[in-house]
Amino acid sequence: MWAREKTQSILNRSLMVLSCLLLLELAVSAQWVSPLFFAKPSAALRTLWSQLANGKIAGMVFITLYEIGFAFLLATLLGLLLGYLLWRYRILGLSYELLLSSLFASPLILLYPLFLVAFGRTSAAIIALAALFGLIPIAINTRSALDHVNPVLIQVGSSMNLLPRQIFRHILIPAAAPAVFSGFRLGLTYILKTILGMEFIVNVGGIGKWISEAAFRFETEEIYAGLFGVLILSVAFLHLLDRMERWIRR
Amino acid sequence: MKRGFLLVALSVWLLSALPALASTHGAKITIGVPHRVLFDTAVPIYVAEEKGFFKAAGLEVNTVFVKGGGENVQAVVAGDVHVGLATGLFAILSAFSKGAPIQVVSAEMTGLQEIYWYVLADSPYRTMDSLAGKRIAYSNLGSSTHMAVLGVIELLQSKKLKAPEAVALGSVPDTFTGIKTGQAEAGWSAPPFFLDRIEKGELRIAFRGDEIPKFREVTIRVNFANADFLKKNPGAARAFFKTYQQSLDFMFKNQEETVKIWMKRADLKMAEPTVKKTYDFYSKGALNLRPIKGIQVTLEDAAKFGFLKKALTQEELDRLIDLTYLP
Repeated sequence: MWAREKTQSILNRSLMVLSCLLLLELAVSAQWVSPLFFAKPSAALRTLWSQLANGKIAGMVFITLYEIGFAFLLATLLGLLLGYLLWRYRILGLSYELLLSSLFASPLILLYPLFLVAFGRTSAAIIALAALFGLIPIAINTRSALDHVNPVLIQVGSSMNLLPRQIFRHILIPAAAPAVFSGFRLGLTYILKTILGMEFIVNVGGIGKWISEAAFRFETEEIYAGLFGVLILSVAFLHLLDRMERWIRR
Repeated sequence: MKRGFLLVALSVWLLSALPALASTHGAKITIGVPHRVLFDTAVPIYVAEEKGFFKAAGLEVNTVFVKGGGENVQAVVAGDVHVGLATGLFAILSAFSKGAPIQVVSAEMTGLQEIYWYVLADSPYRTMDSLAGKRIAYSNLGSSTHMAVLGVIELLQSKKLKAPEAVALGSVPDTFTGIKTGQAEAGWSAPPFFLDRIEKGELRIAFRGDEIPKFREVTIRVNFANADFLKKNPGAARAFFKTYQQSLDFMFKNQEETVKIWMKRADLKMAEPTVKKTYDFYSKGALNLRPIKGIQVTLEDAAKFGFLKKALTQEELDRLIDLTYLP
């Protein structure tokens, strides 16, 4: 039953995406929208493929992947640690969680000039800002997830003489995992947005820089190719995260 | 008899003038201006508004400030903006070659005399030659500062000196941050930015754009317009460029008043005499609306940096550049 539902949902999703792409293809072909501003998805995908095949953007894709990976790693490590500390030491949680939530709601991206000063106009500035963006939801969700673990589960573990380490590994982690992974997903989303946005704004790095330069050269197909590249990357990262969650919760 | 003849002549004159009057009276034009402060970019508009030139010409001008040439081209192609001012030719050539309905209607800046490269006061570098092998900043790919730094590299190599490294540091404030944090040895700027710091001795001009011979006779930025707008509103376009020329004339004839208008409208915090030094960087000739010079150099560079995939034919160039709207 579950497998059938899953297949159905994948089919629905694919149908939706394909319909949108077909509609855009048709709209551009029939010139309902200006081809100066919209590219046919087929042409954009061809451009993406040819640019990847001829190695023109392989380096840029690598830079973006590296930035996303590094920022996510930093955000995960620091976010988990911070979330754990906020949960473990109640007074810390009470003092700082509101502050973190406020930070999360504020447009931190506007701080990018400070990061350029501190790290230079390099990938390091992008990674640092993206990691900061990403760690906040991870920390908040980690604290909340640990806070909401059913105490009965811990009591059962204690009554079975489990060591604290074992309670942590076999009770706390699996019980908190869904909410922690929601934090990861949120963190990753913010990291992707920050990295692509920063690359576009400061014209440094990978795919965002490519899109920015393509926009300046009025290369509509390249812009859409870049956007498709970004979408593919986002889907791939979120899929990886899903797989990881399933593995952790086994 | 004589009175009757005069009446007929007056009627004929009025009838012939009516279409022209009708085409500009109350005509609405939206213009895209890529910078709020720069002298050649923003001041002609401030002057025209403050002195009532637009109003006198029967124009209702709506000014939109855009972020750079690329955004200006997109806005003009989309038709949201009718006339784009002070934009580099590369972005325009690129859009035009893809069939965008745009036309270049005048030159805006010829040569690079207003751009300068500075170093920190304690820097050992004092001239362009001394920056051989060092890092020189430009704003973005394909910008006039990028072209200039590439010109510097060529020039120094021709003197058998080590080529400097071109470093993209972005806008004037971003570049200054980059220089202060050691990301390059020389940063770019244009008046009035940093004239006060230069006066105080915090910064020093290492070289100016007009020291690069390649670009002395090349039109770097142009004014352009949406082709459909020009076709439908030729009278309004002519009236706009007439007032634009009037503003340029005023700016060079009435420097004190222009500086006051500029300081007020751009909210400049510097001393008036410092702002006035901007005139040392601009000659009226550099801002002539015609001719567009050195187009071959621009076309070659545009092809070199991927803005043009194939060379434009003479017919395409004739279609792109139309100076008939100028006074």
